[in-house]
Amino acid sequence: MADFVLELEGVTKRFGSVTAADNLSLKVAQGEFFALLGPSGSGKTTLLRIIAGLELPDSGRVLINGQDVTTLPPYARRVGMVFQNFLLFPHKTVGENVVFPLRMQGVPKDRQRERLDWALKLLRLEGLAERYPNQLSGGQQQRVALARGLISEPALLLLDEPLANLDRELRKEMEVEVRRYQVELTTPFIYVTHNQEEALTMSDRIAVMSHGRFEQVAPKLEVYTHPQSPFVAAFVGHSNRMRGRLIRVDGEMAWLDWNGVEIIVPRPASASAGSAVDYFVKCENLSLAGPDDPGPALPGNRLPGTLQDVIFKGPTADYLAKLQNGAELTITDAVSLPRIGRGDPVHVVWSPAAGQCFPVTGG
Amino acid sequence: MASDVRTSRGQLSPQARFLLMALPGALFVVTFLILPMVSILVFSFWRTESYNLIPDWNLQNYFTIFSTPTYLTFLLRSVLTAVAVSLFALIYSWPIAYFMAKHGGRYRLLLSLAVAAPFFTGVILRISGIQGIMGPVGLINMGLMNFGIPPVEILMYTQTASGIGIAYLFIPFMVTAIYLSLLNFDFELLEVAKINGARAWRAFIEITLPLNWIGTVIGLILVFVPALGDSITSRFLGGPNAASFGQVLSMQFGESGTWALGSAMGIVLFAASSLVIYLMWRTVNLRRSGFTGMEG
Repeated sequence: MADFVLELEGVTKRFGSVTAADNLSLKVAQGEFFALLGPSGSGKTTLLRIIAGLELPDSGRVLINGQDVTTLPPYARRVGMVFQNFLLFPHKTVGENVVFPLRMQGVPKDRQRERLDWALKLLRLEGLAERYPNQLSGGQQQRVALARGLISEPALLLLDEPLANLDRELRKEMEVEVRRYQVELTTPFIYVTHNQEEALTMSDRIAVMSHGRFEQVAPKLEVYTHPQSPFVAAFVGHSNRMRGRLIRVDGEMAWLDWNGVEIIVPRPASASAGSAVDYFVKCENLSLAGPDDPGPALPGNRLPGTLQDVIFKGPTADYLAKLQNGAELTITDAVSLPRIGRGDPVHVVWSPAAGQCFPVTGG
Repeated sequence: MASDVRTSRGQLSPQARFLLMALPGALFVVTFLILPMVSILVFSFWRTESYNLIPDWNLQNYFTIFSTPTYLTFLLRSVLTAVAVSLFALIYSWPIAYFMAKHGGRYRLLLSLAVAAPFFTGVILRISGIQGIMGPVGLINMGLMNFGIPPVEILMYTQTASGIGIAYLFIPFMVTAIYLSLLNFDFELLEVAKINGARAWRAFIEITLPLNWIGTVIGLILVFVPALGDSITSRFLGGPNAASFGQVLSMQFGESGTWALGSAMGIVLFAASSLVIYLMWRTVNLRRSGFTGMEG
């Protein structure tokens, strides 16, 4: 038995002048929930289609359980797939849809029935077997698609934005459910999404994709707290970006001139005084203080400004602060926090290490 | 009082508007379908004597048709030809329609026009064209004879030649019917079928054909019905041993002048067509047609 269920080795795919997959390598183990996260056009769906066998890569290899399947057609790969628009067969009942993969494999009838009962039970679809897809709600249709993808015990399940067509409430519910199925079955899931919340909620590891490349492949917490590239820093979570030139560097620290305001940032490797850098800090890592509150004694950033607006978000609120240099920062903090209102003077406080600093490439 | 207001503004009442809109369609159906059919039905129970219709109610015409071996032969021949032609057209049209829908891209419109192109000319011209290819002095046989090869007998005034002619005439209907159906077909479903273990042929049988069955049935009907009633093609291409029921029928209204018998033959033809349409439609299960929101 191979150590990894899925292995990609230098997979490359071009469509004309667009490189949808640029020399991508990846290993996914049994039991893993792996998310491919990226904006539309980043190549994540193409990669999924290559794994499924719906696209042939220009170069590179795809291995499933150690077997090279690069040139095998989809029906010989033992993968399940769930699509964004469900793609149930409209002329077949729920039961017929779900059992379809087993029928194609020539599984005996009584075994089919047994597996069908299992799948309908797992996805809470009991009693719906005789219905047609258009008699189901969106969430039910998506569960039927999942049942169809899982019934034949595939080596791995591919999911292409499966929750994107559901409304917000249902999506939240399904996120938890999909995660539950995956944990229960230990089948590796490869989950394509442009929705970072989905990726962060469900997955174990995340690959952030942009322009056919992996920007970062890491456990989700690491992707969130330690983005490796400016793209990841900007794409995952809600961040403030501060661009400027370094004035001076000192060991691990550097001083950044951000539109006339001096802030302390972690020193990016290979950066020296005069380098142009982008500094990203997540909104929830900034905090607000009154002008008279004593700040922490540690070296930190403390910028005076004016509160522009408060955007109520439920458990938290976004505070928009306008600084003296005219720039705006968004601070996410507790709602009950300060008894301050619009127009009040405030200080924005944070520790330099809470953010990441990257040299500006090509700028 | 409300209607007074409407009239004073020069507008029709909803009822009047409904009738006005329904009128042209109703008029068309009554004038060109129901009235001729009823008159044919009535004539079929009359008799003709020296080119005159005599309203003398009887069943003699039907008795003649079903007791005269030649008429029965003509009828059977037409039915068999129509079945064969429909099946041939079915097999021939599917790949054309599929190609147009799948790979037509921006040339789709052009391709559908190309399929319809033969209709730009008259039917006689089209059949003469076929004759120019298949007949004894036609392209194929002349060519063969030029090389000292004997001509293909089967293309010269035979039942087969007539069948090819009919298929040529009506295949565009079948192609168009299937093509229009495929335009609404989600080809992504085939990818789903493939991922779930279906090879190409199996996916066609499981997914493509059932989801386009209504279009296919419409195509079959559009070919079968005119093929069954064909008279011109067999007259031009079929020769003396391939006379069709339709050909004999049209003679009753021409040379023979036996309108009553012709009418009865027309009714028989109509009944046969209706029966086939009914049987074909029985194979359609709307619930399983893929049309959404349909109950039953």
